[in-house]
Amino acid sequence: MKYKYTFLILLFVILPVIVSAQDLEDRVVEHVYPNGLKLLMIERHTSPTIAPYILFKAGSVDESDDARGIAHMLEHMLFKGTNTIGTKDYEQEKVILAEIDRIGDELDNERAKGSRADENKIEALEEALKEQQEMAEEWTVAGEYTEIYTQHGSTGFNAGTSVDYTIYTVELPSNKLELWAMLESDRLKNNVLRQFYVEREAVKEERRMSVDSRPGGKLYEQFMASAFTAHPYGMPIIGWPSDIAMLNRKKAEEFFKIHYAPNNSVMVIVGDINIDKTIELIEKYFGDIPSQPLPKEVTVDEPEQEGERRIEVEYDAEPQMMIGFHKPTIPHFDDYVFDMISAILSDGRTSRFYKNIVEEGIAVSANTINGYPGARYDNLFVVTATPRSPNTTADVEKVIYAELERLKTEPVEEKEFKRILKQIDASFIRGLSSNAGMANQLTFYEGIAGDWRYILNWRKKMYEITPEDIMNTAKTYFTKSNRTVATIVKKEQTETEGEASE
Amino acid sequence: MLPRVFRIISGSLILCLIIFGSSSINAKPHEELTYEPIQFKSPTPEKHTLSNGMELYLIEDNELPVFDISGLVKTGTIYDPADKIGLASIFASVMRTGGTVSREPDALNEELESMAASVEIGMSPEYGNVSLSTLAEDIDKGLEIFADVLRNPAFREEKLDLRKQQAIEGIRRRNDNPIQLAWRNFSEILYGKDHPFGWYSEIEYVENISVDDLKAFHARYFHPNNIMLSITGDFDTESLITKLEKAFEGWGKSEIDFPDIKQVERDRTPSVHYIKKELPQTTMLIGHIGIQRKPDFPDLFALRVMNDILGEGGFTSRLMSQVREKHGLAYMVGSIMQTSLYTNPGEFFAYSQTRAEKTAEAITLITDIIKGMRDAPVTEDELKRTKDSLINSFVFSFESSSQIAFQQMMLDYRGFAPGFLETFTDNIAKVTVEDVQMVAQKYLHPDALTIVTVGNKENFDRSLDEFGEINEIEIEQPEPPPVEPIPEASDEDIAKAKEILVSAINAHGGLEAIKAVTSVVSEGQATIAQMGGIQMGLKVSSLYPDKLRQDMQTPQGDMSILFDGESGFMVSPMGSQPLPPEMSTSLKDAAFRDTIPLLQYLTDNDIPIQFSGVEEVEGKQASVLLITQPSDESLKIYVSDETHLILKYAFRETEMGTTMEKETIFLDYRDVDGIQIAFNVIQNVNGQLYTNTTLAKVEINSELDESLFEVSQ
Repeated sequence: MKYKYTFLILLFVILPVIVSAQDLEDRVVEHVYPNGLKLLMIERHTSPTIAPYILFKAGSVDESDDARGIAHMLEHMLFKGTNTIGTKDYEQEKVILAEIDRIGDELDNERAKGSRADENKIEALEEALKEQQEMAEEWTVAGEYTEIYTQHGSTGFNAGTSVDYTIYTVELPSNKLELWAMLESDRLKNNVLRQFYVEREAVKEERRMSVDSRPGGKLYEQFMASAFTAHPYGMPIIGWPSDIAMLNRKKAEEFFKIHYAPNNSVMVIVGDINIDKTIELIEKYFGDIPSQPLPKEVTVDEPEQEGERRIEVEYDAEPQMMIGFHKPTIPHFDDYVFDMISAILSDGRTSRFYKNIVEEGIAVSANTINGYPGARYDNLFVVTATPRSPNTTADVEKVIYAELERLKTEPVEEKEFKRILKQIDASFIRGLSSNAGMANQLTFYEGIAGDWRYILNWRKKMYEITPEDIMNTAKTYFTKSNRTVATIVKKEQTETEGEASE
Repeated sequence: MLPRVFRIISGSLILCLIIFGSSSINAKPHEELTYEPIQFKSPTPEKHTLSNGMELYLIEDNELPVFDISGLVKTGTIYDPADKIGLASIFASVMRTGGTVSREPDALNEELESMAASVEIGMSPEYGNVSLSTLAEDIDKGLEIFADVLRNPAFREEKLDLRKQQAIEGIRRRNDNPIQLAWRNFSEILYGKDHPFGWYSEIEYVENISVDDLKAFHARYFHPNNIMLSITGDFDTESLITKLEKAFEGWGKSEIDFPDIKQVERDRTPSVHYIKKELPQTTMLIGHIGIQRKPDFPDLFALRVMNDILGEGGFTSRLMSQVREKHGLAYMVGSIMQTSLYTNPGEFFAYSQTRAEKTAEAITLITDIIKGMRDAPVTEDELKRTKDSLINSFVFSFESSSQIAFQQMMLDYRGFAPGFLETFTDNIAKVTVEDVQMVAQKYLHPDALTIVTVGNKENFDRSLDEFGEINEIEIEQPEPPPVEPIPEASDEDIAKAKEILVSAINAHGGLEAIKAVTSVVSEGQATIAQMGGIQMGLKVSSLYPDKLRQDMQTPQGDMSILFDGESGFMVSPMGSQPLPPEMSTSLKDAAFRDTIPLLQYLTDNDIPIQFSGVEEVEGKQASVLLITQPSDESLKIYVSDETHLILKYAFRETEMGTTMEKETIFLDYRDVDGIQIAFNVIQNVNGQLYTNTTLAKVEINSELDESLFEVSQ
């Protein structure tokens, strides 16, 4: 079981759709509770299973500068249980947890002094912390929350934090709907973020694994940090190492309090359910959670880029590259055009990148993604590529730009449009084949676009795009000054390379 | 107690899963919930065998207007030849990307994608898979293309070349990812480099693979009686079967000649390995060769429960709850007990990625947890939770018709006993605490663990030698041998080359004399430096232009290599056998390199020869000529500036997957019937002396029968 946290946004590109728009409109049932909670349901009795999902519009962009990484950390902590689950006696445990917070704070502050820190003090505090943690363990029932789900036959039990939101997912046998409602509402009402400092170590390992030990992870992080200078989209979701080192329970609780409100969330249940009973059941468990003022949106606008940015990431790995262009997000019309451009460039073996870059042996892969790293705010159109030796990233870059230039000057043929539209309709249909897939789509678009009907509208818009739209969009955004280019280079090469180039 | 009903009724699986809430005195709220029993009628696939022997698993499902085939071909990467590891995988992609006899690759892609359909071929260790996905409206067209790809793949050369380039790039990048790096070494240590589960592809192997290999692979395994298809979607079974019979019409059954599968014959021995990679985190794999599942394998269920408790059961497993939840030593940690393989035992292993400063601590903790599974019984609570989890989540094996049909086909393919699914939950329910400890003791071997670590030992908490003697594995960056393109020649260089050629022909006896030579037989002694300097008698017979025979008197008896101009044979006391295609290519080059016919050939044919400078050979000045051999490898000919005799050939050759630089040096030229022949020939391989041959007798134009170069049938 993994918390995936970075690549959730890929959903945005793979957009399964439905047999017909009418079908979906008829089948999705919407219910809004007085506290602002919105519930979307699709009844589907193919198997006795359900996929209940909850999304909170609380991502890493919503963090303050002194708590970067807290959205993701909180997601981990919400698996630690409540005042009844995960504990033998919360009243006893509570006292020790407060002591752990106090010592932990002091320890973090001392460590943060860096070379001026008092080593003896740190050691004493570490000792004290360890002692309290062992005392707390007496009262902890480790992993009970997750254990209950596992025992009751869950699958796909997971959570993910993106720049834009945090999502909690699971699939269960359909007779366990009430269990789900009880457990989920319990963790919203009575969560206890116990074992914080141990989990913080696991999160550090997660960072080492997914960023520091993975060339692609490192490249991505550096690329984003260069592409965005002002907007929090440039910051890593998991946080920088020094951010993680200063996270604590208080910060997590504050973040929870501000963002995990019923009126800041979307609940989706797809599968073997009865609509009326489900509405009632959710009322019973979630109805008494009060609504609250919505948190502020990010007001920083990324200033217009005024010149190409190029960075190198030194790493013990073969070259890879990312190229990003700033562009507006949904529901701007150009965003739809970029979805079409993305399909033209890299969808399938008939796509232009595959035919002209991969099949020519210049790169082993060349792909595009519209909408990195998120969709709540203006984002990037990204090209990723892995050159095939002896071709270099410079060789690949050249052919990528040639393809982008072609979009500006040559109108896309009717045949290409037709093929892509047929694929859109087919994936619409195929997307209906799984509870989890549908739950994903509904939560995402309701949460981010503000209305799940975006899915229906998206298809319509794709049919409206003309060859001129593509040329105009390409001309506007695919410019040198609007792009950021990041490449992986081997350490030993970097010193000699400057001399070698003539 | 877990009451449940789970039996087969008239072609449907009826699932009925109930877990009663256990109400203890201090019950937590969720423990007081009660659950309606689940009654679920799951479709079972209808089996049908086509007249050509193809087995079908069909489920009609008209919920959506789609049509899907997912099939298995009995083959796999385990059948890769040892000098062409990677063949099966490359075969699978080129079978799709190379188009069919009647469909160019681009046309095939266009046709499929314009109807939003796909046909794909894949390869796993123990099976190949083939698939088709179309909208229901395109079933006919889809089936026609699917059958065309299965029956008539064209394996176009340029698509093979592309795939080979991609495979080589993959090999170049195989050390970038620590998990991949650890895994490759772990399986090699467990199974050995000579076993399909332990070996991996190399650049040289990939370079060996030819279109003929792909065609042979297809001819060997792709027969209808060797294929199973699971088919689901919006169709009518009866008319679909008619369509399939038609699509595969004329494709007959055929006996499949499966190569022997090598069995693992290795003892489990403990060992510790370290691979340096400058990373903040250590990737570790800890395990041993696991079990081989037999068709009837009653321990399977207790094993499943045991390994769920150990490390496969998500957050509640011991590895997860101890290593991650309690100690914060990893984000990803767990264990796998491989039981799906049927040809050979799979692996048992635990994995973790832990900060360098806690490496030894994590290894100790993980090995202790593995030991703990044997040393003490699991708790009743652990057992109950795990069994509940397996039984309750079983319904997710029946979520879609495509999953159900494929699953049944796969179980049959892998030789699971009939009724495996129907009895699964019963069998899990029967597992006891004693069973779990019994299988732990039988199948976990904590005293024979192979530990592979990838990381930076400078930051380890302790040396790993407490776990055993550390074997440090050096990792090299695989690179293809540099291609030496023949540089664009100037007119001047070409003219100069012709001049040198003429002088060489004159020095060797003149054009007329050379052209008169039709055969040469030489006899002498060869010393093989690499094999402890053993000597053997040698007789080389050449019938020009391209037939070769080499008879050797070796300590093992007489051996001969025959080359009839196309293919080579080896004749030994054990009988005769054809040489692999790559050896035949080498022999073709060797026949081409024979000085006398080469000089004839270069005179008679207008092929590009160029002069590429002057070098020294054995202390003598020589002009270098550059030409291309039949294999496309270039050949350097060194012509003495003084005597104008050929002093040396230099070229590259691939043997048994390794590319080597070779040189042939000619010394002691003597006159034989007016022709200059070298009586001492030295061969160097990669700069090292390989053979030194001294001739005693050379005969020109003796009568040689063509049958001398062929194997008698």
